[in-house]
Order: sequence, then C-alpha cells, then structure tokens
Amino acid sequence: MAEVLTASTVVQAEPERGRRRTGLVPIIAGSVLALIVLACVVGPWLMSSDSGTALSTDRFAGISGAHWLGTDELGRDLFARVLRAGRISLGVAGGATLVAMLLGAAWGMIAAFSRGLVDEILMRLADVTMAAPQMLLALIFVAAFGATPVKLAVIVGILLTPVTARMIRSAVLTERAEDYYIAAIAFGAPKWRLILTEVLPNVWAPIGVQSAINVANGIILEAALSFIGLGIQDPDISWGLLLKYGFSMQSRSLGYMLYPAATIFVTIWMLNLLADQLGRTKGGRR
Amino acid sequence: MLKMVVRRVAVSIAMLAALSALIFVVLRLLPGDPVVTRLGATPGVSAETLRHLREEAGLDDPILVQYFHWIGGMLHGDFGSSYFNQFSVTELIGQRLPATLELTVIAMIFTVLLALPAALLSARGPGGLVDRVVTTLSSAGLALPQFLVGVALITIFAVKLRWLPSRGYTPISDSFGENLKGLALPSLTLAVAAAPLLIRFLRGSLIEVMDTSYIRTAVGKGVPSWRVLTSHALRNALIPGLTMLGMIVGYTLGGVVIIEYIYGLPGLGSLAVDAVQKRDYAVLQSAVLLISAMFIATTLVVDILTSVLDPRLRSEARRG
Amino acid sequence: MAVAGCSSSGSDNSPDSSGSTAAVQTGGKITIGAAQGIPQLNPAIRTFAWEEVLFPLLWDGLSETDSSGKVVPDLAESWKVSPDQKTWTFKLRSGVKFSNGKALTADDVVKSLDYYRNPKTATQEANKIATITKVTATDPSTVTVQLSAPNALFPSAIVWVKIMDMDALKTINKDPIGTGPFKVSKFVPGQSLNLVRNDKYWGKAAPLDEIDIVTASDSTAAANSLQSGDLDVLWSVPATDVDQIASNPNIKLVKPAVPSQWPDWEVDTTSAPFNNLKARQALAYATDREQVLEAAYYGQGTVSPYNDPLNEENPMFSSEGMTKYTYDLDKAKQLFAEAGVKSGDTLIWWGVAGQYPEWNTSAQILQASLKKIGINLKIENNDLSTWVEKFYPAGKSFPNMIVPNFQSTPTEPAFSLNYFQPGRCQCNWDNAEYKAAYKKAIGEPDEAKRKEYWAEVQKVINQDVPEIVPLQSTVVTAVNSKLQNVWVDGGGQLHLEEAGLS
Repeated sequence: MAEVLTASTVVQAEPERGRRRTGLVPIIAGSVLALIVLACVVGPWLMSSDSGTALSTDRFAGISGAHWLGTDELGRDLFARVLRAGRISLGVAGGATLVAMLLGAAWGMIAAFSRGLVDEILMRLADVTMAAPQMLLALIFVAAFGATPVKLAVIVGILLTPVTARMIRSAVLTERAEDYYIAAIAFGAPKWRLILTEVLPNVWAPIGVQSAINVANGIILEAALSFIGLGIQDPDISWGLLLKYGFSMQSRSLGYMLYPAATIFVTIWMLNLLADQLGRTKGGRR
Repeated sequence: MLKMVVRRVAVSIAMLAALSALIFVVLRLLPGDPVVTRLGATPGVSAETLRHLREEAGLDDPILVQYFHWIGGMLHGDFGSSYFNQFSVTELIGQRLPATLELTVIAMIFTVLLALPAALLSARGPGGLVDRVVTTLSSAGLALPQFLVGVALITIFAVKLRWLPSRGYTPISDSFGENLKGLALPSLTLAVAAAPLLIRFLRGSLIEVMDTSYIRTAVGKGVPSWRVLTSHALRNALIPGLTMLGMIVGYTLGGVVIIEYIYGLPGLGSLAVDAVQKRDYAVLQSAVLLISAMFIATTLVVDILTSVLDPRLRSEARRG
Repeated sequence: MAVAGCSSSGSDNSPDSSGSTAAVQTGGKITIGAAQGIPQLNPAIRTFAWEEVLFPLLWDGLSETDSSGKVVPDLAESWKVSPDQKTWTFKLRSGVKFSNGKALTADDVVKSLDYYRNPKTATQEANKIATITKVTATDPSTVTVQLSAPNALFPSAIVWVKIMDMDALKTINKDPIGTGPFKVSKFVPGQSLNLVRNDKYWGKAAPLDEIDIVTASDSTAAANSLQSGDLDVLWSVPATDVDQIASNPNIKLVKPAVPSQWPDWEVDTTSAPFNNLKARQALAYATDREQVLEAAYYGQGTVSPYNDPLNEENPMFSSEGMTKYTYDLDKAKQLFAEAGVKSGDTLIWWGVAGQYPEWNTSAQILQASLKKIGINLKIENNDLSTWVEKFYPAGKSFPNMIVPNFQSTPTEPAFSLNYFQPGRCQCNWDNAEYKAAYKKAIGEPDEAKRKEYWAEVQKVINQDVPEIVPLQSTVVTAVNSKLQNVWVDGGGQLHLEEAGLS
C-alpha cells in the first residue's frame, strides 16, 4: 500500500527543474478523475432504478448494446455494478480522507504549537500506530465494529490519521520558521488569527497533496479489505468486492475481474499524478 | 554516539510496550471470544458450560490482570498458547516466521534489482526518453495496489501460463528449488509495488548529487559520465537510499498480511488473520507485536547505520 | 461449516466403485486440500467439518459405516442388545494396538466414552450419546453400555465416537495416539498436516504411504492447483467451479449418492414474528427453491419442496399427508398478514462475512421475493464469531431474524431429524408430537415399522415448519483420476482409507 508515500517524499523526490509550465498531464488527470466521479455519482441515478441489482438468467454475458460490460453470475449488468460500486468505494475513501484531515489537522497542529514534551508524546504515539501493520489493525477494527460503508470510512480514516498528522505538523512548523510569521508574532498578532489567515492558506499545497494521497490509500485499503471478504459486504458492492467475485470467477469471464481492476488502477493513477503536480507547485514556491 | 544509540533503543522499547497495551485493549473490543468460536457452534452446549470454560481460560478476569499475566509471561519467554490446539505461541510463530522472513528478504532483493538499474538509467539522462519512460512506468506502478499486482501475476503466470505455482510453500529444508518457485510470485508482487518508490527516490537523489560542483568538475576533467554516476554519485545517494530501504521494509511487512493470504503462504501474516477470526487472543497479540517489533527494529537499525555512515550526522550527534 | 452434528451412516459415492474396491498399487503420496484449515486434532472436539477427514484415517470407533451406508463392526467385532433396546454389549477385537504400541483394552473404551460424555468436553456427538447412563468394562474385551431410553440404532450413533489413548490426551495436538491406518508425522496448525502409514494398524494396511493435507484458502488458486496437479484431491469444490473442473479429463468428481447436507434457514420459534406458525408457513411459501438451487448452488443438489431435511432418495423419505410448499407469493403475503407481518415491515438476514457465497445469493433471491410482497429483508453479514454469538447455543432469542446455516448429517434419519430436538436446535422448537414420534422411531428395531414412525416425524416437521429447508446440497469432491477408491458420505465426509493410486 502506498502508505509510505507522504507529501514530503513527493516534494523531495522531484528536484527543482525550473520549468513551470502547467503541463497537459494534470489537466488530463483531473478530467479523467472528474469523469469517473461524475459517472459513479450521477450514472446510476440516470439508469433504471434496478440496473445492477435486477437478477436475470442471462449470466456471464459478453459486451453488448444492452449490457455495455456484460453481466455477472446473477445476470446483473456489470457496467451499472461498477458505477454503483464506485459510489461506495469513492464514498468510503472520501469520507476516510475527511476524517483523516480533520483529526490529523487537530493532532498535527496541537503538536506543532505545543513543542516540547506534548509534541514528542503525540508524535511518538503516531509512530506507534504506524508501526503496527495497517491491514491487521483494519481487520481487528472491522471485526469489532462491522463493515458498513460509514463505519469503514471512519476506520480507514483513523488508520490514515497518523501520517496526515505528521505531515500537517511538519508543514506548520515550516511556516512558523518563515520570516513573515516571526515578524507577525513580534508585532503581537494573535496566534489563532495567524493560523487562520496566513498559515492555513500557505499550507494548502501539502494539504492538497496529502488529501489526494489519502483518497488513493483509502481506495486501496477498502479494496484490499473487501477483496479478502472482510470489508464491504453483500448486498453493498464496492470495487474491491467486485474484484473478489471477478477473481473467483475468472474462468467464466475475464472481464468481470478486469473492469474493477482497471477502474481502481486508473483512479489511483490519476490521483497520484495530481498529487505529483500539487507537490511540484509547492516546490516551485520554495 | 553511544548515548544516541541507547536513547533510540530505549524509545523503541517504550513504543513496543505502548503498542502491546494498545493491541491488548483493542482485541478485547471484539465481540465473541475463543471459547464461543471453538465450541459455541456445538449443538447442545449449554451457556453454563461456555461460562465455565471461559473462566478456565482466564477470560473473565479483569483486563489489567489478564494484561499483566501476559506481560509477566513474556518476560519469562512464555507467550501463552493457542486456545485451539495448545501449541505454544512461540512454537506457532517459529513454524511461521521462516516464510515471512524469506518473503521479505527476497522481495527486498527483487526491489533493489528492479529499482537500481532503472534509477541509474534515468539519472544518466534526466528529461530524456529513457527517463520519461521510467518515470511514467513507475508512476503507473505506484498506482497498482499490491493485491492487484498479486492477482494479475497469479492470473498470468500461474493460471494461464502455468509456469509457477499459485499457492503453497515448501520449506528450504525440503527442496530449495520448490521453495524458490513458491516464493517467486509473492516476492515479485511486493517488489513491483515497492520498486517505484525506490526508483523515484534514488533517481531524485542521484540527479541532485550529479548537480553538485565536484561532480561537474569530474565530468569537466573528462571522466566518463557512466563512471561518475556509479562511483561517485551512487555512493553519496546510498545513504538516503538506505533510509528509504528501511521504509520499504516497513511497507513490505505491512503488505505481508494480504500477500500471504492471496498466495496461501504459512507466514506470520496469515497466522494473525486466522487468529483474528478465531479470536485466539494469545496468538494474535504476539503475532502483531512481533511484526511491529520487526518494523521498529528495522527503522532503528537503519537510523543507527545512517548516522554511523554519514560523517555529517555523526558530528551532529556528538554535539546534540 | 459452523454447525454440523453428524454421525455417519454415510452413503455411496462415485460411479466407478460401487461397494467393490478397484485394484490399486501399494505406495505413493497424495496431497489433499480444502478451503478450511485443520486447527486441532482432537476428534471429540470438532471445530470445522473438514476435520472429519481425519476420522477414518487416524481413529477407530466401536462401529463404522461402509461406503454403502451400512453400519459395520470396527473395533468391536460384534454386539448384541437386550430386548428393551437399552443395554448394549460390545465384544472387542483382540490384538488391537494403539500407534504407540499400547494394547487396546475395554478400559480404554470406557475412558474414551466417558470423556465424550463429559459436558466439559463439549463434543459435537453429545446429542447422540445423551441417553448413555453408564459404561462399564465387564471384562478386558467386553464393554456394556446402559441407556436411559431405548435406541435400536445405537451402533450407528457412535460411529464417530473415537477410541483414544486417554493417557496421551494432553499431547493430542502434538502426537495423537489412535488405532487407525495412519498416524501424524508433522502438524502446522491451520496450514498443513502430514500423515504416514501406521505399521501397527490391526486391519488391512492402507495402500498409500503418505497423505499431505493442506489448506487452500483461495478457491481459484485451489482449482488451479487441482488442474495443474499440485493437488490430488480438492474437498468441497465451490459450486461455481464444478462445471469447469468437470471438463478436465484428468479429474473426476466424487459425490454422495444420497446427499444429506442441507442448508437450513433458522428462525426463532419463541419470538416474534416466527413464533406464529403462519409466519413460518409464509416464509416457506416465499422461498423460491428452484432459483436458490440454480443460482446459489449452481444446480448441485435437490430441491426439498416439503421442507424436509431428508432427500427424496433416502430410503426413509416420506411425503404422505405432507404439504408441498410451492413458490406462492400470494399465499405467503396472506399468511404473513395473518401473522402480523405487513407491508413495509423489515426482517433481518443474519449472515457471515467473507464466506459462503451461496448464502449471499440465497439472501438476495429471498430479498427480491419478499420485496414483491412489500416486505423488506435487510441483509447483514458479520464476521464469524459475531455471527455465532447471536444465536448459538440454543436458547437465545433472535426476533425478526432469518439466520442461514447448514447441517451435515448422515443419511440415517435418526441423526438428521434429531436436529430439531429442544436444546439442540437454535430454532428453540419444542413440539410434543415430534418428540413422541421420534422416541417411538428410535426405539423400534423392526425396520418396516420404523419407516412408518419416521414418516410421522417428517409429517410433524412438515406441518409445523420449525425452520426453512430449501434443498439438500451435494458436496462435490474433485479427485485426480489416477486415485481410486475414494468415497464421500451423505454429509460430505471424505474417506481415503482405502484409496490408492492405479
């Protein structure tokens, strides 16, 4: 899982190259991503209400005009299934990111502004939770609390929080070392106002990068959990669950496995490209 | 220098202790317990019997008592035993550790084998065709979740081509060849997922080093760029690369759980997953602790090695 | 998995060996796999059904069943019963040794039986031996068993009560001591088990030298391993893969002749709404058995329109005077309404996460059916331990829920129809008529008369609908065609003790 990939890694790895054209790449990435999200959110609404859930006897059908991606083992339209699955996968990942950003921001900022012992303890706590294998913690939480989409979003969000906290803390610390900040403090400006009006706007780039990365990691975690059968459950559907079914039935239909796999792959790739681009923006500012 | 090492070790131990407490508490959150899972499914079992068995297993004692019992046992080398088969945890882990260790090591080797040449080729001509191809491929590789890579490799090499087995593990002692065949796909899966990270990092470091004045002087003097790259740049990029490698080991250990599940490898990961489902607390606690300890130990070793190797850091350490 | 109270008066199997054994060579090693692992080796405590594969290989009981389903002598060479069917006397074979060299005596039998009877052992066989009041060794080779109630079928009740060396109980998971044709050489719990031929075995030596038992948790990988030859036997092939595997010329499918594994959808007959007979009947009419068989079980099984656990091919099957529960949504709607379940109400399907895809599919079929009559079925899948805790053991209250499960029973009705006894069935059904009819049947030594009594028992079950039994499912085992003499009993227990390579 790309949990190791943090904003700082992304920023360091791309040395300043001087050229600042906002290339074609981020535009394409953004558009593809927008298309996917739009399709998943709006698509099922536009199709008939039971598409993707209606059982039929036309099992494992191939691509056709009626079924753009064929059908599954119960005769359900696969295209509709992929879109509906997308709603849940993206929803869980998005929700998880929200949770991680909120909790991580609080955690990171408290640590950054406290310094000293509080900071050390909070950061060690983050290290401890990052040391335990993520998948195992995920499994344990799922076994304890269940795996509905909402609960999964919270669980995955909690798992993504420590890394987010670290990143936000280091971004805030960087700002604190800036001239403008030191000067403002010397002039007596209140900290909280500075945070809101100056610090936060300046850290939007690393926050943006971390968000994109969190969404990507959220998708991966949910998919992995569902793939081994301990994430999203029937009758809900997610890309990971579709992949699980497709993998077990690949002898009947290779497409069944390829469609969710391709969708996951493309979505994450686009997110990574966006994260790269945002990371470069920050690098340019330096 | 020594002071720093001692301090780091102490912190690591403290972290492990905290982790053990965390795991212990989290596990008790789980509904069900080993008694119910093992025997609850037996028709005709009365609630009375279940209660009695639970008591015998010490599951009704207050949490603190259970925790100190566990810790106390650990200090004696007794990690408890599985509720299901009375094998001691040490024995169970001993049976499963080789597979996980081997997997991790081979995966690391593959990662370096994949990443090093790619990074070198890339850094040789930054911005050039080779560089762009490598960057794009590794960017795409990053987007492939580990289990997706595993699924793809199994489908291609095990199902369609039948070159390699899709599951199973033969210990080295039984047959070296079979052992490697069984671990080839799983290690490759982990390597394909980890290599892009290393490529990216190495490439960046190499390019950065290539840009420094002393390298430019060497090139100016007529030293061939390839030799410059390998003998000078690489040596300097090695230290941060080592750090990155440490992170990658952690990343690999994290992926071990799902990879072992997919490939049916009898490692620590599958032991832990099994234990979660059976609520076999003793086994689970120790397995999770061990995996985490491996990760913490790796980070510690890398930290220490880095400061030993890097003269700049060493002098800083002496000051602070 | 989960629930399985079984004893085996198994039944016949594959088309190629009917009773007579094919000629095989001695020697060779095979690898067999199943999705579940074997977590432990004590036969009295069976956690998962797959552990039963060890029963005929490592252990012996006083009696056993052969491939045609008959109960035959095993460690006891003969037995007789008092006219009131309450006192059974077993004469032990001479010269039997445990795998550690110790000689078998009546004392060992008594100790083993007492171990099984101890409530703390919590054995799956408890319901079959519940009527034992006393076990004594009347002499070193004779054991007498006293029952509290007549049981004409007692020898079939104890086929899975294995005789163990009780002195070696503490180390049973390291070194199990039994009297069977094989013994254990290596055990990695949950992963693999290696068996080798037991040279001290008293009976006909097993043809095979070694058997490796491995866990193949991923069904696709398992099917692949079978096709490539890494696995010689795959037990309980997932229904989706059956057709594809069958097309491989090197593999043959082994099935029980009379399937006696049956999914049962459990409801609580002591809480609303299923405490009302009409609600249970309604559910029976709302079950589209044909579609469940086709879509969830891929056609591997037989529908049970009378909601009867017994398969129609079972010699004791009867449908006389019974109601046929056809798929009739109008009737279902009406009956539900009469029971107070109206349009807009919600029922819960309490399933297991990550396993049993057939349950998921069944749930969705039922959900679609109920939706047509305005009732919502909410499908909740939980991890195994959570699932178990909700409704096990018997006596728990779970209103508004339908819990999928399955029973693996022998074809002998005594041990499938007894599932509905109070204290055993999670449905908490307590029906005097059923109990009386069952008692009559089990105490009757005359087979023809017994058949009539079983017909009565089935009728009560059919009329009072304690649970929904949509079909019997066939446990399919895939076997490499070079392996002969493999058979599977009705409940799915695999027998390899006579297996050999041709």
